[in-house]
Amino acid sequence: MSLLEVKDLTVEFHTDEGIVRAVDKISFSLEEGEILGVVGESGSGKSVSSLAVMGLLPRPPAKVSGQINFQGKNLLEVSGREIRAIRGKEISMIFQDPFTSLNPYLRISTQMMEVLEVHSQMSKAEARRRCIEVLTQLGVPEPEIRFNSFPHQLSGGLKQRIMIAMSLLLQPKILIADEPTTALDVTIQAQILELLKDINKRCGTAIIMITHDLGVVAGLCDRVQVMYGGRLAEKGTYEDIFYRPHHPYTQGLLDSIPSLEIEPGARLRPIPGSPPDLSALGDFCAFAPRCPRAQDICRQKRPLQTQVEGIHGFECYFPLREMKERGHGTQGQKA
Amino acid sequence: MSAELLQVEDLKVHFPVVRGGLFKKEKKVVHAVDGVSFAMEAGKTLGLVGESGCGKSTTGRAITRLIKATAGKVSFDSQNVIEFKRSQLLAFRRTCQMVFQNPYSSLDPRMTISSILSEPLNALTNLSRKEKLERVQQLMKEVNLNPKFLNRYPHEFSGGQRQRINIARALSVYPKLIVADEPVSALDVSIQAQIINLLQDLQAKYQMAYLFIAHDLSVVKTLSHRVAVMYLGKIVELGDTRTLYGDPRHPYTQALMSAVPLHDPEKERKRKRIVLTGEIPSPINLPKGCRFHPRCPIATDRCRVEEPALKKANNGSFVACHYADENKNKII
Repeated sequence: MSLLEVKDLTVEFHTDEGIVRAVDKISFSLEEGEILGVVGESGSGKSVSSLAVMGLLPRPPAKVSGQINFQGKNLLEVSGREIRAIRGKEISMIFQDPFTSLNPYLRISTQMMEVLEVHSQMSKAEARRRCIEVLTQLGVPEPEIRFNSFPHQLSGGLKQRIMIAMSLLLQPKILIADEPTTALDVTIQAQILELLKDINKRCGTAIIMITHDLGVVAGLCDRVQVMYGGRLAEKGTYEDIFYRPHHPYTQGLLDSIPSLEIEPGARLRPIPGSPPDLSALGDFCAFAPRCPRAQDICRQKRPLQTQVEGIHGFECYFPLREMKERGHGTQGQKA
Repeated sequence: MSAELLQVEDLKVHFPVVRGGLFKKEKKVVHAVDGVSFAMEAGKTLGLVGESGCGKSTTGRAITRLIKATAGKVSFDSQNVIEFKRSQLLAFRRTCQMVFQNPYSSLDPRMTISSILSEPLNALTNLSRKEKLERVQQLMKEVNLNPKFLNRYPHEFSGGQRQRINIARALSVYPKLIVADEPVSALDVSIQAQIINLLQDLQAKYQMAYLFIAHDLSVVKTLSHRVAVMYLGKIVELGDTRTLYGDPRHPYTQALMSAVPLHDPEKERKRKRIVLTGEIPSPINLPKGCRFHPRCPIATDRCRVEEPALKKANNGSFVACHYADENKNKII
């Protein structure tokens, strides 16, 4: 059984401009000890879907439906008390901006110890020892001094390390990392990515890595899902996504983003147009207006997830590669 | 080699900071840009890369006179931009324009696109009303926006479209140089390529030079003819793009490149990474000798005492390292 299983997750926000469907019926699972990459642009629903998993979306205004199964429970149905016991202990999260996610008025020690006070029966001395132990493991220099500092005394990279340390205090099963390196410089990003890899290997923590950077995914993740307009455009192993993409959006992303190996002066192949307006998205393919392969059906009806092989699947009527006949999914192109 | 458009010599920008209490004031100086020299060639792009706080944006702002340089010279048409009076500065603005990072805050929300684009024309040219309107419509076409949107306001446009408007504004006087400070980093990944291509097209058409300031090494590589890498207020390596990326000689350039993840999973997973330890030192208390020595994997006693000058290495790049000729390290 999977560690986490998300089925038909939908998140809607009721706004003055109408209903915004930020996440639109997505299903995925997370296995024990794996690193899952979630790639997408702003507004693709990658952050909102993980906030839903964490039970961090205020309801209302958010309307969340579907299932999020974790340890035999549907997290959407459990009480506030139960989800608070899971959040931070079993599933924890680190955020993009280490500058705003720590409270500037409180010492690191207060903020870290709070986690243990809420979730465990440790004595103050034990809690302190545990905090310093985790900080040491994460390579924070002079952990005792940092432990007693205020956030403004630390650099961005160090703050992100503290955030990671805080999320690991109780050895969670799942760590959700929402763009943890986007606000950091590349050399610091490299350090943090190494750290996450190491945590995954050493403690077996499963990681959901949310990012817009394909490079981060390339080196780190076992499986990848590409999100667009609140939907799962494509999902598969990292090899499926990078070497055998089926969805035109995945291919578009791979073609349009320059890598370090690009020839100077080369022409990029951009995806025309701009990302969709989620409040005006109809029940058709979200990528159709920008897609070079789109035909009438794409603008009329949303394609269903089609399975290629193993876990590789996509939502498209006209994939870039021929599929084997037997691999057809629930609906396929005959619709 | 093409003609030199602009020459920067030993540019310094220092910001004084006052620390301490009422009676024990301590005057200190942030060495944001600390002796930078380079030349801009007409019609070519010079990429300026580095991590946050290295002084790349400050360099761009000092050249365009948005902030005052502490010392140094920026030669343009055999005159020094740093000492320009107001009238000379206006003339200079006709040849040098800027594009900023944030497409949301760099356009006045209360002005229509038409007035945003005519503002530089009003200030810097003697065009008639009709000519201005024609120019503004022409500009919209240049950046692939529909001229019928001219009377709209910035909030009606997406980030990518706003950045096109910013570029159109910079282009309005057809300058010889555009200083672009992180023009694509606030945009969505699928939009970045559109803007990069637009910048390339406009350069080919109007032979403008770009000073392209960015932290993203891949984007800089795509656009630049030459690249300068900055660290703590100084250029540590400057060279032709192909040489700099193919044969980087400064240990910082090498570490920076090896930190950028490749987009090919197989290569990325096999790759050896030079991981820098520690953090960038404070630009207030600079390390003695070479500024990079506290984090440098190949530092020797000499580096702790003697600051290396930016000299030509045996591969043609200019490198500020005592060991530039030996320190070969294939990164990509």
